[in-house]
Amino acid sequence: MSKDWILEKHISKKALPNENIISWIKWDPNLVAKKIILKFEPDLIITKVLNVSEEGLKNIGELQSGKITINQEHMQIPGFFGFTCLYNAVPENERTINFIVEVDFDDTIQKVEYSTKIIRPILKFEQAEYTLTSSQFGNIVNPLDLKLVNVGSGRVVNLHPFAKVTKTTDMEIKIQTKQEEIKDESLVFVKTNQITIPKIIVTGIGYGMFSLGYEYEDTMGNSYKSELANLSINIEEKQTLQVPITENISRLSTPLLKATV
Amino acid sequence: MAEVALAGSLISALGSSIPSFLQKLSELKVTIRKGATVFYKSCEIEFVFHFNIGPMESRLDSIINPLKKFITKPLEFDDVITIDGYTLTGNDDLRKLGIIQTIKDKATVDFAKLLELKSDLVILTVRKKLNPRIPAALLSLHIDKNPEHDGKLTSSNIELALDYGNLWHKDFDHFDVKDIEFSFNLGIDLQTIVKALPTLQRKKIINAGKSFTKGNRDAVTYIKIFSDNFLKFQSDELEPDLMNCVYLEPKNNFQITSLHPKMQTAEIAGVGQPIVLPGEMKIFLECRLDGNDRALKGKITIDLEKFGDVLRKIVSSIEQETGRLKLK
Repeated sequence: MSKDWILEKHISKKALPNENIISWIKWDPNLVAKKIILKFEPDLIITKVLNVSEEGLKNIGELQSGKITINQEHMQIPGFFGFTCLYNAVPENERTINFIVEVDFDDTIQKVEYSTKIIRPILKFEQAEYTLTSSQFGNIVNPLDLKLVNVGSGRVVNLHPFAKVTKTTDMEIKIQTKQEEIKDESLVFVKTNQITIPKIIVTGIGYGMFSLGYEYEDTMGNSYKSELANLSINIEEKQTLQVPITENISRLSTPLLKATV
Repeated sequence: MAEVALAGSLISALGSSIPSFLQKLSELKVTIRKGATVFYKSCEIEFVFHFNIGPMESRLDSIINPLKKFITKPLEFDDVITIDGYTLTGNDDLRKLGIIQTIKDKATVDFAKLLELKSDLVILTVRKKLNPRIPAALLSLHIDKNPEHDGKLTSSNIELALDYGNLWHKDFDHFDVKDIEFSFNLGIDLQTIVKALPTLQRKKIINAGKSFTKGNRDAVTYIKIFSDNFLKFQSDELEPDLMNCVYLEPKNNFQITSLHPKMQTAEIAGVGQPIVLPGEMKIFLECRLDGNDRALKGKITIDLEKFGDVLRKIVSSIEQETGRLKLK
């Protein structure tokens, strides 16, 4: 059998966790496949095997087992094998998932290998350490402008900061969101002139440390947490400080194309 | 997995007696070419049959007489939306000849009469409602949840594959699914609109917002002209330009059926003056998938530079109409 027996092989180029992935291979319908075996990695769930009879679906094997088998009598279309699947874990990093399809033509077994990329947004702080001292504060408190970078391929939506206090003396540190009127003169249009700004509220005196991170989602609604940035605060006089947090993140302000059905 | 158990063939949707009738015709050496088109959106199916009944002189003994023993009355079709038939030579209309008769959604086809027609090729088309579960089960699809974006273009892959081959593969010489509808929404963020404004116009709109609150007549006029021009975004005038921003691949399978631009309400920053701006563009597409292809890769791409040109065209009108206004 010549190497170009296969007419087309396709798999969704990329997918977010829990996003449907579709794949198919097409070959000359005159070449009769006796058996097809699909091998796949753990964390993948096969959600549908296309054009396989009900009886065949009962006998293909566990859909999370890493291997399914379809026999000739259960294939409804010659020269075609397809399936849908999804990756149902949230990976730490983007990763490539490999698939192997073995088509048994009786006299020869043809092996098809292909892969798809599981993508996600990955937010990182450009600077991992920040220090706030009382001399910086004065009467006007400048926002803590956090530079974030998305090193993943997934788009970030619904970004919210969270804090974890690691060490304080006589100090209370928390994050509060407050509604304020926009004063940023570099802006031209805003959704509303009232903006909700998260602020670090520091009450007391002395030295404190806390970590700041972001909770966010991708366009599939999967939830993530960013890595943490460490902030140290040093206040010499007893006072309450409000430090607005602003973030600057790549690829947030672009038109979003979204399928609605 | 296999949410619906769909057995048999789509031909059985025509009625329980039809498959055995077609089988009988085949046994009598009548060549039948069968086609079916599923209309995805409306859950309808259209069957097209080409009956090659052969020359008249050979037909009587080989087909007509044996068939008369098998069928004693016209064949009945239920839930019919439309039914038509004609002969290829002579172009006889089977309705006018009384071979096809309809009462509301019921139709009858008198095959005994049909076989007496002079023409050797008869074409019959029947359109029916389909069980809504079937079109949904026939297709498996994937649309990118995370569109690709390179600053100039944003695109989303559309992948479709046919399933339940038992319903269509063996029984039809031609099978396709039409009117598979997709809709996409291009959400327009405010920064995209600001990018289309020259620096001078950005300052002017903020000044106009500030002066508007003080009752400056030119500022009122400016805001009105600004809003009126941006309202053109959803007018027919700009539709060809917006259509030009959208590319579909492959062109033979995908087409745009309509575009619906919508406005959004925003405020002038720091002023709070409400203003109406382009908000989103809803794009409706239709796709056709041929049974011979079994599966199809498609793509929708929006040219954001061209889209920016549409916004700049609006801004250019604003500049021309507001040049003389004093906003301070």
